[in-house]
Parts: sequence; structure tokens; C-alpha cells
Amino acid sequence: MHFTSITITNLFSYYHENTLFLKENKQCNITVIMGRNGYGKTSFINSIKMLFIDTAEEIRRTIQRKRVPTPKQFVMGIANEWWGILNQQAKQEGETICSISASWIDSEGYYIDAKRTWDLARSHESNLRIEHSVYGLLINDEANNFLKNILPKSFLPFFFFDGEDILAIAEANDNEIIKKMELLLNIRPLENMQEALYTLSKEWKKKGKDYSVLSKLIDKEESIARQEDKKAEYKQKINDLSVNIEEYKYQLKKINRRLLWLRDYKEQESGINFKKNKKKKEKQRIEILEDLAMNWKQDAILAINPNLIKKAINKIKSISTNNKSDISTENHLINIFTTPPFSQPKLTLHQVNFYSNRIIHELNTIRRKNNIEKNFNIAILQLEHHKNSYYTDLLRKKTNNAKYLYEEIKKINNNIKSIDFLSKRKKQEYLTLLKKEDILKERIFKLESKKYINKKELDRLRHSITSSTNELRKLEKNLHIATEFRQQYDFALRLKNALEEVKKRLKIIKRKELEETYNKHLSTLLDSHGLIQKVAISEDFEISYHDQQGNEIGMSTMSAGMKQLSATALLWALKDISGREFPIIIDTPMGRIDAKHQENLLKQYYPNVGKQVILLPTDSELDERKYQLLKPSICKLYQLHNPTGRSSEIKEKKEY
Amino acid sequence: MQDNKRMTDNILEFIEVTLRELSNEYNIPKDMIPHLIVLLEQYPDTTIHGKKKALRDGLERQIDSIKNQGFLD
Repeated sequence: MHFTSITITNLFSYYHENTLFLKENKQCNITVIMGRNGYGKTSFINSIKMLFIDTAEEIRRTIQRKRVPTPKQFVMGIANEWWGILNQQAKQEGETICSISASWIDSEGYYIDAKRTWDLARSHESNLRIEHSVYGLLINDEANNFLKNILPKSFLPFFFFDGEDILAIAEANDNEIIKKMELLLNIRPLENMQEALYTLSKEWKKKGKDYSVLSKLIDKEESIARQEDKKAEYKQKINDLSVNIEEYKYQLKKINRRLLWLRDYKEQESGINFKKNKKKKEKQRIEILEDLAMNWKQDAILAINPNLIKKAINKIKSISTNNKSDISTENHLINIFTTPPFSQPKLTLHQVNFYSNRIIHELNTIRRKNNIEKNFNIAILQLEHHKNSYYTDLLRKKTNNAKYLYEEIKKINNNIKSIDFLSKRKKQEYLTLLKKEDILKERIFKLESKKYINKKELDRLRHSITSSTNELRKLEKNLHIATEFRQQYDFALRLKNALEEVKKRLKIIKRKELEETYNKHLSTLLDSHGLIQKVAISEDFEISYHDQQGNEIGMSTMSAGMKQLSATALLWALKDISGREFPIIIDTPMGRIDAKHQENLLKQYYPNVGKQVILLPTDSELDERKYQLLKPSICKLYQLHNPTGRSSEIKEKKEY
Repeated sequence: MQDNKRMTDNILEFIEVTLRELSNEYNIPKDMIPHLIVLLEQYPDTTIHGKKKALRDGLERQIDSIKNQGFLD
């Protein structure tokens, strides 16, 4: 990239339009713009910066102020603290528009014109317009992105800098500086890709579940399989039971037919009537029993049975009476120690009194607890009540009815089963068949019960299988997702690790190259007392300086001038290693450097550091002697004029 | 002095060669590597608005593509 012209209009100290023409020349690469303090050197470099980065924080920080101004404050100004970017002369004349434009040829030979304009009457925001010989017109966002691609914001400190402000780069142990270095050396793109892979893998991991789903799925499938086996077993059992039941029922049917046949026609007819009657009475009995159940109370058994009540009352009375006779027993107990037979040895009087009192105490306790007489009286009263209540009558009536119906049904059954009229042989057969009938009925009952239990179990299994199957479907769905994203997740991690290895190897190479080049350039620029023997760059691109004994030199030990030279050497090395070719613009290039080292810069650095170098020295920095040292590399010489302080002008000079 | 593009190309060449060397060890399909290099070239700086997402989307497309071709099985 090579600037062919730079135009500053009403920006900072530049009043009206000021244009710098720069030709590409293979023999010379340096353009010198000399000026005294306050004539516009810093305004010049800041204007170029603003073309590329607008009002980014890096440019706003250049204002010497406690707090960094906002973009609006920076552009429009802050009361009497800061005039803003518009040239004061232009402002006084009512102008509101200021701009910076540059034309250049890029590495592929394309022509590009870029212009950033501020119209302070409208807004503090700029408009950017780029005309590209291939891409055509680009404006604002598109244009800004284009510039960012050419010269990222983070590169600016390495190409457009103040000679004195680059001291921080010499330390270069600030993470931000290291990141910028890695970007310059093309290491950062690898990290960007790794970060992208990490983000993707996190997303895939989130979508995919972990492997535990697979084991749960297998367990669930096995569980369902076991349940299905059991279900089949139960089905088989139920089937077998059904078959047996059907067989028994068939046999029972045959027996019943035979039993009916064994009675003559007349009896069969009666049998039908008996059965009808029996059914009717059974229904009635069931109704009564249901009614009784509804009205049954806890003491109903007593209430419906007067004899039982009578017996209970008598019993209670006798217990109560016996209780009185218990009193004589108690007295007997109390006197047991004073009446024979006596123990050997005999108890002393004291012992007799002691045990007698204990017995009396215990008997009193029992009597108090039981309160037998009182409880008996209450019970008797309750029972007497039952003898006379309506409830008792009703219960008694219903139970009597139920009992009567029971007897009637029994009679009917007997009539149905009556075989008195049969011959001996047929009677025998009849009885045998009755027995068989009972046996079959019992068997059928047992089998039906078993079948019922098995059916319940089968229903439970069916329900369980349905539930397990639903869970299985869910797990399968999750597993599908897990499997699908697991592959991508694994691959993303593998690729990330591979890139880490690539980065490691690239860093090793770049670090080595940078260290070698840095040391080479530093020894070119720095040839004083040799405090710094060697510069070391760690794996993480941290820089340390070492003396001849190999001891690390603290940054505080180094003078500002040495730091500036070190930084210059580093920038030179970075530019070499990165292979990025941008114009280099240096404000106050030799401020703190002593004469001898300045010579090194003039002879070795500026002519070789880049294809286009724009220097902005003061006249004291670049006196005639130094100018002569630099002259072979100088393409153009300009002088800044700004006697009023408000209107810098750039004028070409033929000679110093 | 090499210009910007040539040095970048050299670095990308280095990355490509190294990835190919590592492809067996990390099980990366060789066919994918040129596409990765293109992404590195297109999105060197993800601080620019929209580039981070574009890089991520580009990677996702590449990985999905190799998956569909069965390279991840």
C-alpha cells in the first residue's frame, strides 16, 4: 500500500484544503514534513488515523484530559477544554464541514480513494466514501469494513505512531499489545477459529445429551423385554385357565343336563318354577341385607337379640356382685400376714405392716381404675335401652325377614334337589353327579379366582409396558439428537486441538524469527554501552531484556531513549516478520534519542523499514546535518506553517 | 521485502501444510483443509462487526458438509 495523496480540510489545525502529493519511488521512500511545535504535525498524523478509525477510543485518548471524551465530545468539543475537530478559523467563518481524504495504490495495484467527512451542523458522525477501481463505490458501513480489512484498528500503533509514545510497546507485556502482535503475525486468526469451534462445540453439546441417555435406553429396552416375556407368560396362563374353565363348565353343563333328566318331566317343570321362586326370594333377601348393612350400627348385634341382652345384663350383675365379694377377698389379702400359715422365719411386725399397706394401696388403685360398679351400671342402662327402642324393633324385624327368606330359599333348593322319587340306581347316579357338580363348581371357582389374579397382573404389566415404551420413545429421541451432535462435537474439539498444535508450531517459528530479527535490528540501532545484550521473547510473546551476564534488565533501569529505540527495533522486526506493507508515519521520530543513535535511525532504520515512510520531525530533530544523512532516501520535503496556531499549511520545499 | 499478500499466503501455506501433517493424528479429512484456509483468509480479524458470526457459520457449514459425506462416522 502506498499513499499517493493526502488531503486535510478544516480538520484540527488545518484550515481550508491542504494536500500532500506522494509519488512512489523505488529509490527513495521517505517523505519529511517538518514543523515546529504546534504547527500541525500531530494534527497530521491524527487526521490520517481518523480516516481509518474515525473517533475510536485510541484517537480520543490522545487528548490530554482526565476522562476520555465521548465521540460526540471529541468531534464537537467540550466547552473551553477542547475545541473539537473542526478547525477554529473555519468555525469562526461559519464553516461546519471538515474532512480527511487519501488516495493510495494497494499491493495488487488497485487505486483507492477514501474520504471521511464530518458535517457538524448535522451530526457528530462521519460519512465515509471509498472509490475502488475494481469494487466501485463503497459508503459508510461497507466502506468502514473495507478499511478495517486493510488496516485493522489494532495495527495502527505499529504503523502510525508518535516516537515517544511507543515506549509501552517496548515493554510489550501487556496482553492487549501481545494480542495485537499475534494478529500482526497472523497467529490470531487461528485463535479466532478455535474460539469459533469452541462456541460451536458448546452449542452442539447443549443440543446433544450425554452418553448416559444411551445406557438408560438400553436398560429401558431390557426392562420392556422382560415385561413382555412376563406378559406372554400371564397370557398363556390365562389362556390355559380359560381352557380348563371352559372344559369344567362343559362338564358341569353335561352333569346338570343329566341331573335334570334324572327327574321326570313333571319334576323338571316344577324345577323351573322352583328356580323362579328361588330367584325372587334371593333378590328380596339381598335387598333386606343391603338395607340392614346401611343401618347397621356397632351395637346392632345386641339390639336385635333380646336374649343376648338379657344374658349380658345378668352377667354384668353377677360380675358386679362378685365384685362385692371381692371385697372379702381383699380383706383376706390384707390379713394374710396375720392369719396362719406363717412363713419361716416369721415376718417382723414392721414387715407385716409394710406389705399389708402395699396390698391395700394396690387394691385401691385397681378399684379406682376400673370403677367397676359405675361402669356396670352404665352398661346395664344402655342395654335396657336397647330392649325398648324403635331402632331395635326395626332391626329385629328386618333380620327376621332375612332369616325367613333364607329358610325359604333353603327349602326350595331342597325341593330342586329332591330325589326321593328316583329308583335306587338312579338315586345313586344322582348323588354321584351332585358330588361331581360340587367338585367342578369348586374347581371352576378356584380357576376363576386364579384367572382374575392373573388378569389383574396382566393389566398391570400392560400399563407398565405402555409407560416404559413412552419413556423409551423419549430416550430414543434424545439419543438421536445425542448421536447426531456428538460426532460434530467430537470433531470440533479435534479440530480445535489440531489448530492448537498448528498455532504452537507457528508461534515457535514466528517467535524465533521475531527474536532473531528484533535482536538484529536492536543491535543496528543501539550501539551504546551495551546494557542490552540480548532480547528474549517467550512462548507467550512476552519480551525481556538481558545484559551480558544474561541477567534480566528491569524496564525501570532503561532510559526513555533506550526504550524508544527498543520499541523502534521491535516495530521494525514485527513489520519484517508480518510481511505487511503499510506506510509508516512517525511523529517526533527522534525526540529522546541521542545524536549517535539518531544517526543509526537515519541511516539504518528509516530508509529500510518500509516502502513508504512519512516523518514528522521538528526542525531541531532534523537539523541540516541529519537531513544530509537522510537525504538519499528522501522523496519529498514539506514544511508546515502555522504562525497563528489555527491554520496549518503544508508547503513543499525543494531543499532543507 | 515481501508484500502483505505474499507473507499472508506463506503463513496460510504453513498452516495448510501443518494441518495436512496432523490430519491423520487428529482425524481431519484432508479435503476439508483448503476450506479452512479460505475461512482463515476471509476472516482474519473477528473484531470487525459480523465477522465472528460469519466465521462460525462458515465452520458449521464445513463440518455439516463432511458429516453428510460420512467422514465423521
